[in-house]
Amino acid sequence: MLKTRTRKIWGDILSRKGRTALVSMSIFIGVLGVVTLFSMGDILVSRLEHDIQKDKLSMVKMGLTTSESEVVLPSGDEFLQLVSAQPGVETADGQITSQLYFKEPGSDDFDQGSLIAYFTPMNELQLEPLQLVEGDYPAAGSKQLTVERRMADTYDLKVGDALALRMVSQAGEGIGIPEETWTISGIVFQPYTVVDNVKMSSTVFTTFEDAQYISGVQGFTNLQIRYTDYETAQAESSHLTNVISTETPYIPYISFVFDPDENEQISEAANISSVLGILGIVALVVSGFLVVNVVNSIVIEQKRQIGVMKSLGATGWDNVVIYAGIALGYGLLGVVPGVLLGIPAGYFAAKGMAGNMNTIVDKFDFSATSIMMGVVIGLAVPVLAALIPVFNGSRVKILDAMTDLGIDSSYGKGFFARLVGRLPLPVTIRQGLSNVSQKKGRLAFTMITLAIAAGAFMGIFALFSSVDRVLDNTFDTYNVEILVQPDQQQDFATVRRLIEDHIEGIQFVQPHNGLQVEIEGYESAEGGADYGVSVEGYDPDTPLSPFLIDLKDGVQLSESSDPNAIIITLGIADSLGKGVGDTMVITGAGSKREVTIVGVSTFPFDGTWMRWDTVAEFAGYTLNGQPAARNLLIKLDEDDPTAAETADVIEDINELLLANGITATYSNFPEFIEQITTLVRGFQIIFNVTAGLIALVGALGLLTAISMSVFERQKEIGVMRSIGAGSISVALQFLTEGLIVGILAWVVGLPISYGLSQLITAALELGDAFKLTYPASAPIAGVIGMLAITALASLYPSISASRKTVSDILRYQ
Amino acid sequence: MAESFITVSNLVKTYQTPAGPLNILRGINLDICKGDFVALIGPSGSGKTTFLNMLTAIDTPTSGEITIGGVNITQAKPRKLTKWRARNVGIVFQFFQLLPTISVADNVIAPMDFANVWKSGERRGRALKLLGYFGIQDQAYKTPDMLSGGQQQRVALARALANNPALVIGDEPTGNLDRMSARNVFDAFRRLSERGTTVIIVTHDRELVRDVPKVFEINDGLIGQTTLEAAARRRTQELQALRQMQVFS
Repeated sequence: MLKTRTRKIWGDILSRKGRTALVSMSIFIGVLGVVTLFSMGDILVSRLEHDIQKDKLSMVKMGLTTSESEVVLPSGDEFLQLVSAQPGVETADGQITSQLYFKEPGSDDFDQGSLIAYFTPMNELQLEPLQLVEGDYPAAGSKQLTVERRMADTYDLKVGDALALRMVSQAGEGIGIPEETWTISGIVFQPYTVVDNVKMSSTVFTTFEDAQYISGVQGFTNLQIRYTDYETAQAESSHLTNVISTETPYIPYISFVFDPDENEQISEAANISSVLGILGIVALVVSGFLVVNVVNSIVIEQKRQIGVMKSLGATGWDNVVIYAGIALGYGLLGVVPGVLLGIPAGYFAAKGMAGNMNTIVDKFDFSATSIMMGVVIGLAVPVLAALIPVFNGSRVKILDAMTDLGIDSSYGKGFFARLVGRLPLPVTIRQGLSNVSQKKGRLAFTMITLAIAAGAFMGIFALFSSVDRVLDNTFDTYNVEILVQPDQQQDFATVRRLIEDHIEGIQFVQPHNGLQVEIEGYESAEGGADYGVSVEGYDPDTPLSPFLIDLKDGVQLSESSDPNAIIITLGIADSLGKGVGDTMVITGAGSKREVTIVGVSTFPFDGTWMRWDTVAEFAGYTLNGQPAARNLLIKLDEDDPTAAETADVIEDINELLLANGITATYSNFPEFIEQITTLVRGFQIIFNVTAGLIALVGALGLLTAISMSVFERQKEIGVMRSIGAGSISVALQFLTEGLIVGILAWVVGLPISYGLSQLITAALELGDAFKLTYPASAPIAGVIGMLAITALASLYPSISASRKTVSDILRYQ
Repeated sequence: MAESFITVSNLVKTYQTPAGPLNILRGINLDICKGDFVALIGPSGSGKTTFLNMLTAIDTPTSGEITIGGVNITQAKPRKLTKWRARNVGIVFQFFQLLPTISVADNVIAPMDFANVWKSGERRGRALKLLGYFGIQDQAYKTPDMLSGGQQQRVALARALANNPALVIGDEPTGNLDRMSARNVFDAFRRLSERGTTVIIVTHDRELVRDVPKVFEINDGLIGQTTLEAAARRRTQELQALRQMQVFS
């Protein structure tokens, strides 16, 4: 049988449906946020942890190139034996990663994708193995291939389907580029991050021999190694680089060391999920403030009822149960739909984010932990938030309840109240200010709610402004659209002439060499492992530079620069404690050289710039004994070409080079910028939606507080009406109240936003490059947003107050 | 003489105000027997409600003692008083004070739930019986705001009787009712006293008081019993004074 307490709880909850809806909605939003965001992270992390075997992760990944096109490479076995013989090496495997041109038979145009092959047979891979989803691994020489499952999904490919491939290795003048039809023998899943720029939605795997046949690449383009442990990998990777550079024709132009226990895919998913989930909890905590206000208001409203119940024999505990029960009821009303919607929302969010995390969420999944968390926090927050007003309510004495006049004897005697009384303001504004002063506690809670919302909004705004600034600074430095990296060393002058003579809309083609080096004494700001820094080698002798390097100190490289002149970034200069005119020692590709710092750049990511021919000499990029450019940098005539326009030019260049027997890999910078921008915008949207949810909860808090104010002061409105106050005067009084709270919240939100943006930056491990600078636009956006929110949230209760007539009020009373 | 059910001895209540001590009750002595129907009258500010609050243990005296049914309520601890009040006292307020968000029947069940006197399966039946006694059983599942003032006060009466208390106290129980409703409520109180329940009411309504067997007048913090004749005489004097005022106005 339902007891009086339960009946009273639900009676009170249902008697004020509007208020109940507002409070429950705010809890619902918080619970929805918590369940969705934590579920998303949990699902992604569990997928990644299921797919990624930590004991099979490589610890070092290297990019390999060769200095001469006709060089005789060691056999794969010989090379891998050499690598495996180095100290600490446990397992090593070589790869070919190359461009692939494919189409379904009968289609007109070829699509561009990636071809990956492992030296070790696919079914015996020890490092970062593939998972066979369907069919079989391809047999060498049978014109068979396997496609990645995301490619199969994208192109609706099945085992047994055929793909037409361009045999770029067979291309030549007069022959064109022959096509062959290959059969899909299987579908595989590659959960590990392979190489940058490889999109799994267009990736094909073949045997090593077949990859050589298709691409024409003879040796390895990539090498992955697992050491006995991470510390050994850190200590020994540069030795391995030296051995490869000195004892083989390969040049390791780039090398990364990874800690298998800190897998970036998993930790990134966990970090993003945690940060977003915590913001969800913040939204829930913010809704707790609303509950405090509402329960407090109920207790004050029902002071006489509490007295009556006590006179009927109710104890203090009975009242605690009743009013905490009301809070719990609000919680239940918010938690049930929040959890029910959060479960599918979490799944779809995980599905949407899976691509960014290089994983797949293909079947429905949910996180029991996140659901539990949503339920527990969703119920605990309102009950805990209500405890103080509930406790105060339980202590109400019958006599006090029966003789309560609504205000205490100190009313109007405080500093603020006296100040307001003396201000030369219109009565309505003064009334609004008085209301703020009279309900300080309630409005303080509302203000804190809004301050957290404003803080979150401005903090996230500041964070992404900083990210945008860093990205803009980065992208602006690259004054080119295309990087061409021929698979074999080519004569730069010949290729440049070829392109300039045949391709329209080219502003310039310049030589480029890239190399990763280590700098003596330099420690990455990331701490821990020394990942080395890149050297960008370009031609400073021409007026049109491919790099627009922003200098803090020193001069740009020029025709007259010393061959050993180098420009370094501020981060490196700070780490070394060196500046313009100082020297430093760089090592890489088996060489060591002292260079002189001529400029210090503000470029956000640690890196260096030198003359291309110096880098060629240093790295051993030679052709016919002369320094050679490994890559070509191309700038188009058109200002800010799109990724698609650039892709068209790349296609033309590719056709031209293939027709001349040159295979190459291309980088489309506008496309890269678009990808990065889309990725950042995706995160920005998720963060802003989360901040928006907090703001919504804050707005609901204000709406509730002002509505309560209107409800409590109906008699006052009636009196004002009866002595001639118009609708605008009445509405203005409550609007003033809302706007004052909003402005105060904005002021309090400023330091919160600064702290929050720093915290999120640290939590997301964005690194030193994304050093937060708090832009002036953040508080401006904040104040505009806050005024809009407070005006909107105050508008409804203000209009509702202005519509009350004297007769309505008297009838109600 | 019947045995005293309520004994009030030297009851004093003084409030400290900025203007100095304010003596509301200045040494009240009173004995009320079981089944008495008592009315307390007196002008505004005379201390009637304060005295009633002492009797229900809602307020505590500055000095003096009250014993009700052998329990010295001026010395009992608050927790014990809450239990005692729930089981022994039914209170009827001027403004009914029904819980607005629960039904009429649930309002009557509430004291039974709080005091836990009746078995939970019996409570609803008892509530309906009490409402039936006051002729409003058909209103049982409405919320209080759907009832007239008289009906609401009858619900308050039913609620006051929920735990079958030995003492029913009414603070201006008819102050907010029309003449007919007030008369009905008074009749109900009379019937209660006839059944052995001690009933004490505070009222301004001297017309209704005419039918009350014991009337005490509180004046300036002191109490004195007034007979029906005395009350009638006083009323005649008041009417004469009123007429004179009308003549001169």
